[in-house]
Amino acid sequence: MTSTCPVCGASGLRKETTYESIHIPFSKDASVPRTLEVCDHCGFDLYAEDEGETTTAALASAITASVHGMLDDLAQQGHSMAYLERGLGLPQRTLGRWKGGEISAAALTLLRTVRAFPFVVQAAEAGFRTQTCDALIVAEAAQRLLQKAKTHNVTCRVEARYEVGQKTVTVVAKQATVPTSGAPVLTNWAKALPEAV
Amino acid sequence: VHDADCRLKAFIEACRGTPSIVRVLPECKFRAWNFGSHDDLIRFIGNDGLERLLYLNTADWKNGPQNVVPALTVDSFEFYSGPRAGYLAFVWQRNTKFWLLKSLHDQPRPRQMPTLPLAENPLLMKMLAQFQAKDDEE
Repeated sequence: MTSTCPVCGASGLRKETTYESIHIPFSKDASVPRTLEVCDHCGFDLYAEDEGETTTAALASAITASVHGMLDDLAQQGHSMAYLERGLGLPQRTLGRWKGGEISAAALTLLRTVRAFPFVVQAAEAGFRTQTCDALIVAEAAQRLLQKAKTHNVTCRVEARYEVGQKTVTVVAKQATVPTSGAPVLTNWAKALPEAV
Repeated sequence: VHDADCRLKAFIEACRGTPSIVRVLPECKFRAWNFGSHDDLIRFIGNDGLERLLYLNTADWKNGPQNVVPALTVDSFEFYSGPRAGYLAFVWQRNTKFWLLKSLHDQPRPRQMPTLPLAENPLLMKMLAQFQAKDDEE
């Protein structure tokens, strides 16, 4: 039993702890405690005052594991830690510290962003110039569309036109195999791309 | 409306200055709003994170505690956070001197339009609507 019920004013709240699964980006879901204070008098329950601290502590190890996973994934894609630090303009050995568990919320969000959109590193390296960012977005969209086409074994041609100085440049990418099925995913992508570009 | 606005200001001030008198009911879907804990949600409100607040109504707490006199009333507001529209409802329990954050969830049919740069991007709006529909299903 703890304190007074904030809802009805009766005394004698009891704590109840259950576990819930929380999605951790680029990692396995984590199981964290969820502690409620329950009032038997009015029947209402509320999050316990210290619930936030308990959750944060329970999430810490899951987040460290996800940092390892994200850096390993990026390394497999050819993005070494030294390259990421240079490209993003971070001090040397920053990623090593993150891997060791010294990671802020802002740094964690940056890492998740890079893991989701690795071309962000190239954009950073190019000083986030608009033309480079536009080209990277188009190239990434084309790449993902072509990957889908390959997965579904269908023909696909992506054509993007954009202006470089006075010239109009056309980039064409193809995935040419025998079409066997019209996968819904591909149909949606094909419809979405012209608007996105 | 005036009273509800005053209560809203007092509620936000409590979230900022005295978060220990703000308690959160489990119906608040703070994880769906990307908050790690209910403390983060209270800090967000106290930091004036609720944008374009619009008063919806003040009503008796339906299915509220039966044994409380006088009966508790709920103030509800619509808000935006970036392109996402939300619904917030809270209660001032004058007997116990606690603020109760009763509900926080998506507002599927907001009364206010999203901000213009987003509204002008139909593809993005369509995608956001799909994500929100998926959240609602979950």
